Amino acid sequence: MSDLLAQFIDEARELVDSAAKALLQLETTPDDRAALNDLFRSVHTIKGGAGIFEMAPLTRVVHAAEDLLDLLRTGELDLTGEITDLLLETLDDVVGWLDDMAAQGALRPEADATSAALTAALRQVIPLRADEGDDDPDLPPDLTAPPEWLPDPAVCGAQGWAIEFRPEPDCFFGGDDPLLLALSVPDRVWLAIEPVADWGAQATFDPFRCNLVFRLVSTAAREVLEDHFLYVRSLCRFAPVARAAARIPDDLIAAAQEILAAQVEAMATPSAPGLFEARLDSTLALVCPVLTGAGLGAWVAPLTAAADTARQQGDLAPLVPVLTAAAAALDAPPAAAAAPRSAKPEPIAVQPKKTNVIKVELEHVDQLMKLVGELVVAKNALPFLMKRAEDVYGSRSMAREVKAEYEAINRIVEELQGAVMQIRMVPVSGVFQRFQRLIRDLGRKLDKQIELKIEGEETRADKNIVEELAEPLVHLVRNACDHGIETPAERRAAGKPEQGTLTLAAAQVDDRVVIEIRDDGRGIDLDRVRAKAVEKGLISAEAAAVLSEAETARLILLPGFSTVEQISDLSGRGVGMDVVNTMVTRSGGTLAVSSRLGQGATVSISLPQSMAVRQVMMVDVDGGVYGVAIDNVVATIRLPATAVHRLKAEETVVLRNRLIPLRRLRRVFDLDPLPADRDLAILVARTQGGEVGLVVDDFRSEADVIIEPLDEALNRYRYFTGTASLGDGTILLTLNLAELV
Amino acid sequence: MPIQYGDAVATLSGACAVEEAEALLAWLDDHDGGGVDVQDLAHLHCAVLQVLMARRPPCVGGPRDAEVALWLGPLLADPGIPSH
Repeated sequence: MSDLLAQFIDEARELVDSAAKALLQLETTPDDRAALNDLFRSVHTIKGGAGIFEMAPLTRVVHAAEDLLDLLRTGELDLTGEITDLLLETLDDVVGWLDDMAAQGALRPEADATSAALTAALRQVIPLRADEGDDDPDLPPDLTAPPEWLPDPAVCGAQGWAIEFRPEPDCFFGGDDPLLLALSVPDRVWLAIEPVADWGAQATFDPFRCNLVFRLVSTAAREVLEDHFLYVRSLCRFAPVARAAARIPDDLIAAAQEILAAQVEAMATPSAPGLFEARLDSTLALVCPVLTGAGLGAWVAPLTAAADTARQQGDLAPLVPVLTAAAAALDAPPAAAAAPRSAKPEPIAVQPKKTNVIKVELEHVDQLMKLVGELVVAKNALPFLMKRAEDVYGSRSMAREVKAEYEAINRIVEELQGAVMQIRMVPVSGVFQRFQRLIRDLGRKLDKQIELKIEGEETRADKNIVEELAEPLVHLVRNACDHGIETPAERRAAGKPEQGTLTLAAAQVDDRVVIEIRDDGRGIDLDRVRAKAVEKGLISAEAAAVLSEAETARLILLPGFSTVEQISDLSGRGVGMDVVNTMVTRSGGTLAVSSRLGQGATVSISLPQSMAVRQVMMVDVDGGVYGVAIDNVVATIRLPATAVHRLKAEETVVLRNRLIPLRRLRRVFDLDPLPADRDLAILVARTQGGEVGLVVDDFRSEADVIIEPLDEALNRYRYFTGTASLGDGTILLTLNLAELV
Repeated sequence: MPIQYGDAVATLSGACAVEEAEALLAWLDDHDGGGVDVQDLAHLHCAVLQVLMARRPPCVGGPRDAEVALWLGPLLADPGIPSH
């Protein structure tokens, strides 16, 4: 894939995103001119870019969409739900096609048919209102091809608009000064003034009849220019100016130069008889796209002309000067090329904007993150070394020195880790924005009025976390729309506004990100939840009776729980809350549910801001080291064996007036038990089923580790979630608390 | 007055409005070979510009203002239609 195409795909994706955003914005605030302009500009820019590449189906559809948007902009057409649907569908298809281009460099085979249907649908909307004529009979159509008077792109080096403005002959009598108008064009980078016709005989010359045509290039947005020429719009013709040399990457220029130089060199050798034509054609076939790609599209015409001469003469020689000159033009940066024209410094618009942002491939950042992770682990080897210096070599001072070094390295590593993590941090708004569309579609499907409110969208979290968040959020949002928010009639009956509100809120709490999905719907009927859980055999009736409200709400997270009898096609059968819960847990997060009957429900997800390096509490069990994520550790206590109570078959201890069930890890792992009279080392951990006391052999310190997921061989041991290697080479297994309850 | 008429040179300075066009044209037609000095010209009305473009008097002093020079320069210096 060429650099240009890759760049276009990247940009087009962003443009589609912003177009979709603007479209949804318009649906709520139809009068938002800025959104409409954004939408138009995005679609227009996609169209402009697509034209360069071989993707006619895409260009066609986008063109139709642009025409439609133009009517919306001029107010000849109102944005209806149907039009929005159609435009969203268009954007969806465009994304699909961009994916195709990115993946295989060509559109899928059915793209043509899809495009034709969609284009027809878009066009069909257009004449409904505008059947009196073309969009505006007074407005001259845009110039289709780049006008021939356009300066060499290297001169203006701009992407923008070429405008030909031909004032009316008697315009001076209206008090107009067309020159002033032309000179004050925003972001003008080039201007030429020419007489329309010959000035005629000296005696007949009338200075008060305007005989001028103004041709100019501006980098300003189309609508800005349209505004500028508002009163003389019918006298102006627009033509897009493609992005020129200024933005073409250096390596592309270098490659183009190499190709041109090679061609010039090759021409020195005479053609074999009969091969001349073929050679000429292949030269043209090769060089023309190179010129266009390198922003020297203006050179194609001279080259073709030279080729014609060459054909007549039967000699390649006429091509050489053109190719040499084109190669030289490649060399000259736009500023240098423009310099000879005047003493004026380059127009500001032409200078590439200085930017403080660079785009970096994610894999580089991942690699960096991985290295930092390894550094963290390597750093953890120093405390072991410290201990060895003291224990094995008996050198306390050596141990102290190692410790001092360790602390210095530790500080740097922590800062480095923080800095790299910062690179990976992205705002959650990226995920939140997608829901505008989802909610709109859900609302239309369910005949419910749902407003999406977004709070704290600038909250940042690791890119992976944000991405992993997307899927559970989709299910939660669907659940809230489907089961939570009532129909307008039900809401009216309940004395609530017809429009339901769904709030997505993000906030940073310490080093965690908390996402809340709040709805003001019917809430969760806890009595029904209890009854359902008992009915499904998930919990005994006695146990259900004593559950607190929060605990009852948690029941909906259990596998196999679903309170709505008929499962709608929206929330789907397979994705219950248990699946969502699993997804969140897998990302190291926790999920909490709260609800007030009739007032709505809130699901809150708490996630680590970054998941690469995790702090674990280490424990010993029969010589093995196990880890529990520090977030889940409530307390570590030592109690005499006599403190254990037996409740039926379950062992418990009383801690702060609460009964904590015990799990002896040696028993869980099928190891020999410790002597019965030995004091118990209990790690109290927070799990979804409540707190649990893990009886271990001994506690160790905390450690920063990188948890690797279990590979297939270990995957069947349900008690573990991952492994991590410690500084001394020991492997640590992290415990799956959910399975230990 | 934005235009000072001398014996051989008309000096355009400041902003020359539409009213000046007729007088400038008359002066140029009366003074064969008369030149113009636009060193201190800031702006001129389209009609005045047309007079300069149609009659092409020799330019004795090019515009000092770089912005003006950029678009006016090619129209004055070259007797042919400006090219790019």
